[in-house]
This record gives sequence, structure tokens and C-alpha cells, in this order.
Amino acid sequence: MAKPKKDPGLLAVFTKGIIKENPVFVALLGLCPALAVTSSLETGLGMGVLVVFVLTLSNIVVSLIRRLIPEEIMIPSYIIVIATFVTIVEMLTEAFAPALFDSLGIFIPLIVANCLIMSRAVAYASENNVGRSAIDGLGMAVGFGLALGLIGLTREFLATGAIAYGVFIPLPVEGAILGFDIAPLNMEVFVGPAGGFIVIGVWLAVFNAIGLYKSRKRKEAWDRWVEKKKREKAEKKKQKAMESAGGSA
Amino acid sequence: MLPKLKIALILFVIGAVSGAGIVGVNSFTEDIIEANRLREEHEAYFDIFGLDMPEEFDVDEEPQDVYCRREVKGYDADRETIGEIVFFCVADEDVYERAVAYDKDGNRLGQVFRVDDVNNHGEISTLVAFDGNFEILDVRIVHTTNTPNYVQRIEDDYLGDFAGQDIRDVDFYDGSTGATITYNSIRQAVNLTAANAEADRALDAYRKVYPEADNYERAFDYTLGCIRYRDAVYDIEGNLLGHVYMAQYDDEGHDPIDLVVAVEDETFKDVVVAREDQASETLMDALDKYRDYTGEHVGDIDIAAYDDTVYDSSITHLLEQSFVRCVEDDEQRELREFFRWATRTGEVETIDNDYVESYQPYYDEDDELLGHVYIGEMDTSDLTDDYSGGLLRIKVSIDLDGLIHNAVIEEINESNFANDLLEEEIARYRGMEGPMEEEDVSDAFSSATYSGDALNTIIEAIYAHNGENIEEGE
Repeated sequence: MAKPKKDPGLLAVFTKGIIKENPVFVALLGLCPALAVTSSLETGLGMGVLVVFVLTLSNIVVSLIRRLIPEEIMIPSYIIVIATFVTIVEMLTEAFAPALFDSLGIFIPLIVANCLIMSRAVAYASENNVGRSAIDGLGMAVGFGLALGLIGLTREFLATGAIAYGVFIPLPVEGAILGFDIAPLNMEVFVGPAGGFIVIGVWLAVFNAIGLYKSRKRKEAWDRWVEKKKREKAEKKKQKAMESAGGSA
Repeated sequence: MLPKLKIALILFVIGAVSGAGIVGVNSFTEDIIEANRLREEHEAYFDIFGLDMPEEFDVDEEPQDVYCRREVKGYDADRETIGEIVFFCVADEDVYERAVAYDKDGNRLGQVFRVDDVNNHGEISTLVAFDGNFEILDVRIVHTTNTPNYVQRIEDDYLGDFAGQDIRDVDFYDGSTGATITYNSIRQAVNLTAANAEADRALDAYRKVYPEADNYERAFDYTLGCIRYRDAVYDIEGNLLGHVYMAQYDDEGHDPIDLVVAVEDETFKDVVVAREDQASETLMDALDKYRDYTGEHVGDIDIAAYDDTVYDSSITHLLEQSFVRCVEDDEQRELREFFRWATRTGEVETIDNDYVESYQPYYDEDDELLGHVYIGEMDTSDLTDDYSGGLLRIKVSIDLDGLIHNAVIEEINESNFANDLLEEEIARYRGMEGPMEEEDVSDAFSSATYSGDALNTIIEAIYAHNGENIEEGE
């Protein structure tokens, strides 16, 4: 009888979305907002915060109602849940972070069409309890937000040479850090769509390279382990043969 | 059947709970969102004219007069006035509103038109600001749901090109911008502003006579003849400064002339040229001669035709016509309010009717009967026990074909809000041939008060009686 697979711990559920199964750089989900709203660090992080709200709460609600929903209406029901949270987050953003609302524009209602959210609802929240679903949603959304923040940081710095804060997110302070004069390099292309594709491509390459490096290292470790076991086995065999030869002598 | 009902019930419950959640959040945020929008918009107005950004605003919640006048004052942290923006509604329905900006000393800085448009990418509200010389100060987007990247591109690359151009002759960017739909909305906003700025030239012309003129109201549109209209001119406080006639002489063989003739209480005040491009030295000299009549009663002025310049006969003609209009207007303004060509009225006949009090026949200069003017009234509090309205009294002119020429409210005892709505409602009757069908009576109005229904009931009663009058006349 096959041994049942052990559920990973809550910490593992949370962290898998940040690096190992990062929605943007590994699963390639939610690339539309990742391209469209990452012209600056703040807009990227802002979208990330909104997705944290929507994904966590929709995972909780989907998990709560999963046994009540017949399979035929699973998708429409989940869409209603997600759309509700998106509408709520849209109104709250417009009320309390109007600059962020203006900056993200149509991409806030478009969160409802973000395949990351629906995929977590169907693939995870509909099959797990509330606690694990909430942690999964939170972890995935944080990973998504960090990915958007990283892309936004890269694009903003390459285009302006500085990182502004307090412009779109209502912070009590407003200003900019770094502040290199990179105007002569004329890299404003990075705030445009083309720059978005380039930056995402580069970061995907970096994450793929890290993944390949890690898998190569794992393979090398495995090979070393196999070699070691083989050596140990051969050593044991040799020792056994010597003992048997000594006995007969 | 039962499983399907269960599915429907589950979907209904999910939808209802979702809807309730959205309604709850909406009721919590809608006031904040509206306040944010207003503040952002007001800040944009101050920023356009280079005023400091106010720390706080005093905002008129409701329009103050018939021009929908609404004032927004900005103050710094020490409560010192930074400037003032005065908003007005615009007759052109495509333009949302017009605003005039003043600095802390009350100097006029310029005007802003706000144009709201809905294009294929969503909503877009644009401000177009220009100074007293029609030079564009700024064009900016204050609210939009258009694609942000396109909007950003327009703001970064194209809006700046408008500044410094003459609003009446704008050089648009003709090439493909990559955001054509958004740019077209901007183009439309600038064009509409230009059209309305031209119309507002009248006010600039009136300021030559009344420097403190801030607004005007069309008192009479003559349609025919060289006197185009008579306007009442008001200062910033809404006080009547006087009346002016806009006179135009554009016969073949003459250079066109647009004059502003100011007359107060049948006394000639001044005559000025309305358009700067017509203000030649010869014309200005010619006009000077007529200023000798300033202060004289228009009936006593014997305008002699000067033969010195080509303008004299034109000016004389325009002044004569203005003076004639002035005398006629004061005598016959009320007559013309109800039938344009009326010159006299007949006896008032009282009627024994619940809703129609009296009527009066109106005649033209050939003594032909034009129609009747009815006075009708109704106590709206009689409509229902739970409504305390009051007397609604209206005056309606109906010609012999049953066409309503004019309908005005004589007396009303409603809230200011209902008064404004009723003014709009009664205006809908002008040009109609009969009372409205029940479903056409403005729903928004009749649900707010009962006076919409009352208005239609009075007009129905008037029509019933007008039919009898026409039959008797025949």
C-alpha cells in the first residue's frame, strides 16, 4: 500500500508562492498587469497590495463555500466572489488612495480576469480548508506583489535613475531615493510597454538561470550521493570478500 | 427539477450576499470618493492659473443663481485667501461647465471650460484654460478611465503643445499618436471651448461699457433685423448693471460692424465696437461723435446722418434701431414674452374652473388674434394628505393651432430644489401641442414632489378650455 503524501506545513504553503512557485516568474500567471502597471515601484507594489486583498479573501470565501457549490456552477460562483472583492477593492482604492486609483485605472477591475486568482480558487481553495487556503492566497499574492515590485523597481530605476515614494501610495512622506543622473543614457523606453517586456524577459532569464543552477546542483549532489553509495557498496563487497578469503585461509 | 432549483437558489444567495457587500462598501466610500474628486478638480483649477495650492476650500454646495453660479474659495494654512474660482453652467450641453478664476485681489486671471466625453475607452474630463487674450494657458485631463499608458503618453507628449496658442486657431497634432481615441476627445474639448469662448466674446465686449460685468442674461433674441439681441448685464454679485443691444450691420458693400449699444432706463449710455478686428481708427472716430448723446433720453435724440465716413450711415442706422427697440421693449416686453408679434391685448375673462383662473386674448399689429394667455393654478397640497406643497400658479400662451408659445411659473411654494426642477419641467412645454402623456411627465420630478403631475393637470385643464375658445372663435 502506497504511503499517503504528507501535507506540507503552513510555512511551506506560504513561502512556495514567493520563490518556488512564484506566479509571475515561475508559473507565468498574471503577466498582463505585470507588464501594464509596473512602470514604477509604487504602482507595482500597489497592484500587489490589491491582489493580496482580493486573492486572500476570495480563497477564504471559496474554501468556506466549497462544499455548498455544485460542480456545474463552481466557476460562475467563484467569479461572483472574486468580482465582489475586486469591486470592493476598487471602491476602497478610489476613496483612500486616489492617486493609485488613477494610476492603475482599468487594471483594477481587470484583476477579476487575473488567471492567478481563479487558478488558486479552483486548484487550491476548493480542495483545502480555510486556514491553508488563506495562507496559500496570501503567499501567492505576496509573491505576485514582490514580482511586480521588482519589475517596477527595475523599470523605474532604469528610466529615471531614482525610486520615488509617496506619489501613488498614500504615505505620510513623499520623495525619492537614489537619484542618479541617467538622463544622458535616455532609457525612457523602460517606462513604456517595450521596456516592460525587456525587463520581464531579463528577470525571467535570471529566475530560470537560478532554477537551472539549483537543479544542476541538486543533480550533482544526487550523483555524488549515488557515487558515494556505489563506493560504499563496493567497499563493503570488497571487505566481505577479504573476510571470506581470510576465513578460508 | 429540484437540483436545478437548488442551483438557482445557491446562485441567488451568492449574488445577493455579494450585492449587499458592494452596496455597503459603496455607501461608506461614495462621499469620500466625491470629496476626493472635487478636491482634485479644484486643485487643478488653482494649479492651471499658477495660484498656490490651497490648504482648504470654501465650496458652495448649491448653485447660487440662474447661471448655476457656484464659488470655490481657496485659503492657505493661515486662512488667507489665495484665489477664487467661480463656476457657471454653459448653454452648450456638450460643455459641462465654465469657470472664471480670480487671484486674491480679485483680478480676473482667465477662464476654464470643462468638457466631459465618453469615448470607446471610457470617460474623460478635460479642462481647457485660456486668458483674456484667448491664449491657451493649459489643457489637462482631470479624470479619465481611458487606458492609463495612452493617457500618460498624451499628457507627456502632446498636451504641452497647446499652451500659448490662440484658442480660436489651434494647431492640432495631425499624425498618429498611438492614442487616437483619447486625443480626439482632447481635440473635441478644445474645439468646444473655442466655440464657447467665441460666444463669450459678447461679455468681453460688454466690459467695454461695464468694466465690472461678470455675466449676462439673454433678455431677448430678436431673430430678425440688425439688432440681434438684448442682454441684461450683471456684476459679480449678480447686480443688474444695465441692458445692452448687440447690433450688427453687414450689408453688401459695407464693412461689417458689430456694435454694443448700452441703454439704461431709456437713456443712451454708450456705444462701442464689439470686435477688436473691426476697431479701425476711422470707426472709432466715427463712434466718438455719437457719444455726444450720452445721458439723453433715446426718444429725444435726433440722430443726424454724418456724411464724413463710410461708417456713419451704418452707425446711425444701428443706433436708431437700438433706440426703437428700447422704447418698444419697455412697452411691449411682456406682450412679446408670450406672443412674439403681439402688439396689444384684449379684456381679461375670468373662468369658473378649478384649475383655470382666467384668459386674455393677444393681437398683432393688424389686429389679428394670435392666441390666448391663460392663468392656471392648483394647490399641490390637495394632491395627497402626506404632502405639504402649496399654490402653484402658471401662465401659458397658446396660439390658435394649439401650440404652446410660452409657459412660465407665476407663483410656487416648493423647496429650492423642486423650484429648479419645476422650471426645467415647464420649459419642456414650450413648443408642444398639448399636455404631456402621463408617461412623459418627468419621472425624476414627479417622484421628488407632486408638482410635476400638478403642472400637467393645470395644462390639461387649460387645453380643455382653449378648445372651447377656438371653437367659439371659428
